Amino acid sequence: MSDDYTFFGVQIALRDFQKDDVRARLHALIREGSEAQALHEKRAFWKRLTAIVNEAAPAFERGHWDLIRGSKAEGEFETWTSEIEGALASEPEEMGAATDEVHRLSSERYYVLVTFLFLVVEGSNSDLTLGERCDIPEKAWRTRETFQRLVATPALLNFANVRADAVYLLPGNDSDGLSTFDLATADYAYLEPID
Amino acid sequence: VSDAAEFLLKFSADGDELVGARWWNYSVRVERHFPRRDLAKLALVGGGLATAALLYLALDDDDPDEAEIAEALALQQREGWDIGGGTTALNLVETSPVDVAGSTEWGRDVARLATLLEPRPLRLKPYYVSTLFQSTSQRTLREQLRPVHAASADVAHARAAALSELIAEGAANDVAVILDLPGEEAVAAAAAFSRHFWPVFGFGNWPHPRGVVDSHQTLAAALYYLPRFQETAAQLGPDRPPVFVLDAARLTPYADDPNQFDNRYLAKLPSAENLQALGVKRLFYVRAAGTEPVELDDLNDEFVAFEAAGLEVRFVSLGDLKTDERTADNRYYWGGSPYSHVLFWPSYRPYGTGFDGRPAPSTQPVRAFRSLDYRPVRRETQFSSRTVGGIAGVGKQKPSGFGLVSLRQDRSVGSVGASRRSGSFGRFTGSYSG
Repeated sequence: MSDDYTFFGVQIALRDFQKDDVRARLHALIREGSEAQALHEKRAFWKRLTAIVNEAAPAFERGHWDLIRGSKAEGEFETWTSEIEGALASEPEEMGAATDEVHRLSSERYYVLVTFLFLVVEGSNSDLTLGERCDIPEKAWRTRETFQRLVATPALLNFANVRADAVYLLPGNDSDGLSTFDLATADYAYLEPID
Repeated sequence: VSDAAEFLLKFSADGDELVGARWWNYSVRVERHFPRRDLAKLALVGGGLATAALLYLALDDDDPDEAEIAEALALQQREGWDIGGGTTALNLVETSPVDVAGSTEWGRDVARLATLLEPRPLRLKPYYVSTLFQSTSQRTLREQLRPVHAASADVAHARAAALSELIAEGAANDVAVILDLPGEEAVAAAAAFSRHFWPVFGFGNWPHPRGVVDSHQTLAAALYYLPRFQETAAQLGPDRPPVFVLDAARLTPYADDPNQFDNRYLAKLPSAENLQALGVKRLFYVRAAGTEPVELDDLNDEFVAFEAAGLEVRFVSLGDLKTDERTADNRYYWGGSPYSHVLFWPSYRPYGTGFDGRPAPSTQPVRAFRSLDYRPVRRETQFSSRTVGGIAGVGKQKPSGFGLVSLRQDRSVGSVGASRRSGSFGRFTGSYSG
C-alpha cells in the first residue's frame, strides 16, 4: 500500500448514556453491519449511525479528533485500531468485581466512548471533503458544534475513495460504562472537554 | 465501478468490553484530482454558462476522441435524468413507507411536486426554483422515488420550529429567512417554518444515481413533507414573509472523478432591489449546527450587496437552538434555556426595535454566540473572483468545470465509455450520435 492516505478519526465520550436508547441503537446498528458492504450500503450505514450520534450531541462531554495527511496516516489508523481492538485481549481479567467497585465509587456518571476512524485516499474527493469539513479555526476545535460537524462528515464521503473504516463502542456491554475516574486516568488524557 | 460489495469486514466484536467493526475496501479508487486544462479552456469560451445551451468542443489534439462537454442539468433534461448511470439505482437512505401525514398514498402526487410546492403569492413566484421537483416528470425516476424521513431532519425540524416561532413574533412582515441546510434538513426546516413563512424553494439541479449532490434525498424528503406544506399553505396569509430554502450540499467539494456526475449548482436569490420590493428589510441566514458563521461561497457577493443596500443580514445556527438539560420537556430554546430564549431579539437588535416595531426589551443581550458577530464581508471565493458586470448576481461565472460533465464516445463496442480524461463521465455508446 502506498503512503498516499489521509487519516480521519473522531472519539467522543457520551455521558449519561443510560438515560436514553442511543447506545442501544448504535449497538444494534453496528451489530447489523454486514460482512460485505457495497458503496451505497456503506454510505447508508454511516448516515444512520452518525445521525444517531448527533442526536446525543447534548451528551458530548469529552472528545478528540484528528486529520492526518501523508506518510503517517496509515500508521495512525493502525495505531488507533490496534489499541482499541486490543481492549479485547484483557477482557477476562478486567471484568472482575474490583473494576465494578471502582465504577461505583468513582462517580454516578457513566460514559461510553464512540469512535469513528477512516483511511481515505489522499487527494481524492473524499479527502477534499474532509479538508473542507475540518477547516475549523483552532479556537473552535473543541466546541460541541465542531464535534457535531465532524460527526456528520462520514455521510458526505464518497466511499469509493475510502480505503478502510471502523467504528467502536467502548465498553460493549449496554449496561456498563466508563466512570469519571476512568476518564481521568492517563489512558484517556488525550480526551479534552467539549465546550 | 460496480456497486457490488466492496468493503469486507476485517474485524468485529460484540462483547462486554467492546462493540466494533472494521472494514477494508479492496477496490478503492485512487484517482486524484487533475488539472482541468480542457475544462478551464471551456469555461473561458463559455462565458457565464448561465444558459442551458450545450457546448460542443473538440478535445486537445493529443486526444483522438471527441467528447461533448455539457452543463449537467441540460444534459439530463435532454438525455434523461440518469444518463450514464448504467444500472445503478438511486441510493435512497432512510426511506419511509408513509408520508408525514401517515398516508401511503404519496405516490399520486409525485409527478405534480413542482406545481404543488410553488408558493401561492404572486409576488414570490418569480423566485421559486422548481428544477429539482420538475425532475419527477421522468417516469423512471418516479418509479424509484420513495419518501425519506431522516432522523437528522427531525432534529432540524424541531429546532426550526422553535426558531420560526421566535422570528415570527410580532408582525415580522419585513423579515425574510434563508435556510441553507443539507437537503433533507432544509426541507424539514422549511416544513417547520411553513406555519409562518412562505417556503420558496431554490433547488436547482436534478438527481443522478452517481451525483455529487444527493438531490434525490432532498426530493424524497419533499415528498415526505408534502402534506405538511399543503396544509400550512391553505392556512397561511398571502402577506406572510418568505423563507428561501437552499441545499447546502450544492457546493459539495468535488474534483474530477469519471464515476461521479457533477450535478452541483449555484444558489439563486432575489436581488437587493427585488427583496426591497417585497418589503424585506432584514434577513436571517440559517445554517446547520456546527457550521462556521459564514455564508457559503456562492452567496458572498449577494450578501455584501444586501448590506450595502441597507438590508441587514444576520446569521443563525440551528445549533444555537438547544434543549434545556434542566427540564424534561425536550423543547428547543435559543441559547438552551427559556431565559436566554427571550433574549433572541435583544441580542440580534440590541439597540433597535423588535421586528414588530416595538422597542426592544431593555434586558442585556446575549453575546455568547459567535453567530451574533456575523456580518457579510467581501472575500475571495471561487465565484466572486469571476463575477463580471459589476452587479452582484449578474454575470456570475462558475469556476472551471463546475457543474459540467463530459460525455465521450468510446469507440470500443458496447462498453461504458471509461474516459482517459479526468472530469469525464462515461456513457454507453450506440445511442449517441454526437
